[in-house]
Amino acid sequence: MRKLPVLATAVAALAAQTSAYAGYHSTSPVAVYKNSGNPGGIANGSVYSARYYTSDSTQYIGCQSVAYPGSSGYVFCSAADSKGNYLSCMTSNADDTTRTAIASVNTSSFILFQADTSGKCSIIAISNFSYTL
Amino acid sequence: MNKLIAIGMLVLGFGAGAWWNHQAGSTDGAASVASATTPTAKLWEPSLSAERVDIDPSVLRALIREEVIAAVATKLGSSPTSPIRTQNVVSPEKQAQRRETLGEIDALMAGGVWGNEQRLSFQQKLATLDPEQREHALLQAVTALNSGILRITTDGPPL
Repeated sequence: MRKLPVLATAVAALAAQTSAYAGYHSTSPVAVYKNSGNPGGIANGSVYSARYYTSDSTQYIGCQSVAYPGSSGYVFCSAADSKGNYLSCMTSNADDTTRTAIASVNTSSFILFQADTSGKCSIIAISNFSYTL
Repeated sequence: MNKLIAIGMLVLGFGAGAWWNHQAGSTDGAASVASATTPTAKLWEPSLSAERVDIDPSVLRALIREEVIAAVATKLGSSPTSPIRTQNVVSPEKQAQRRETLGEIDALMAGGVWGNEQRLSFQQKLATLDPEQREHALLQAVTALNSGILRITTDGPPL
C-alpha cells in the first residue's frame, strides 16, 4: 500500500517529462557530400543531433573563429559524418555577418557550409531553431 | 518724445542701409554667377558695398585640397606628388624566418598524419606568418584534409 504513492509520483514525473519535449522536432545528423573529382563539397547537420540522436562516435559539425590580435584572422568550419567522411573550409576575409553568425552557434544550431575546390568557404549558414533540440 | 524720434530715425537709417546693400548684393550675385565658368579668384574686388569678398568656390576647394595634400605628405615624409605608402616593410630576417616556417608547415603535412601535435605546431606557425602566407598555408591544410591526404587523428576539430 505504501508503494502506491511512490508509483503515482513516478508516473506523474514521466508524464511531465514527456510534455517538456513538445512541438515540432527534426533530427538532422551530419551529412557530408563530397564532390566527385575534386576536394570540395557541402556538409550540414545539427549540433544537437550529432551528439544526442546518433549512436556512432565519429560525427560532428562546427565552426571556429580564430583571431590574431593586430592581424586578420580566419573562420574555419569542419564536419564528419557517421561513415567518417570529412569536409572543411576556411575563409580569411569573413565579414561581420559571418563572424556574428559563427558566434551565434549553440546547441540548437543547424550548420551548413560549402567548400570550393581550393578549400575556401563559399557558403556558411547558421540556423538556430527549436526543432533541432 | 525726442528719444522716440531719435530711435525712429535710427531704425529708418538701418532699414535704408539694408535695402541699399541688398540691391548691391543682387548685382554682385549675378556677376559671380556669370563668372563661375572661369575658375579665377576675385579677391577684394571693390564693389558698391564696401569690404565685400567674392571667392570662386572651385578655386577655394582646389587651394584647400593642395594644402591638405601638402600637409599629409609632410607628415608622412614624402613629397606631395608621390603616392602615400601604406604597406609595412618587412625586414629580410623576418622574410627568411617566414620562408623557413612555410617549409616547416610543408614538412608537417608531408607526414600524412594530422594529430594533436601537428595541430598545435601548425597553429603556432600560422601566428608568425603574414595574412597572405597564413591563408595560403590554411588552404593547403584544408585541401589536404578534404582530399584525404592527411589522416585526421586529432581530438576535436583538426585546426
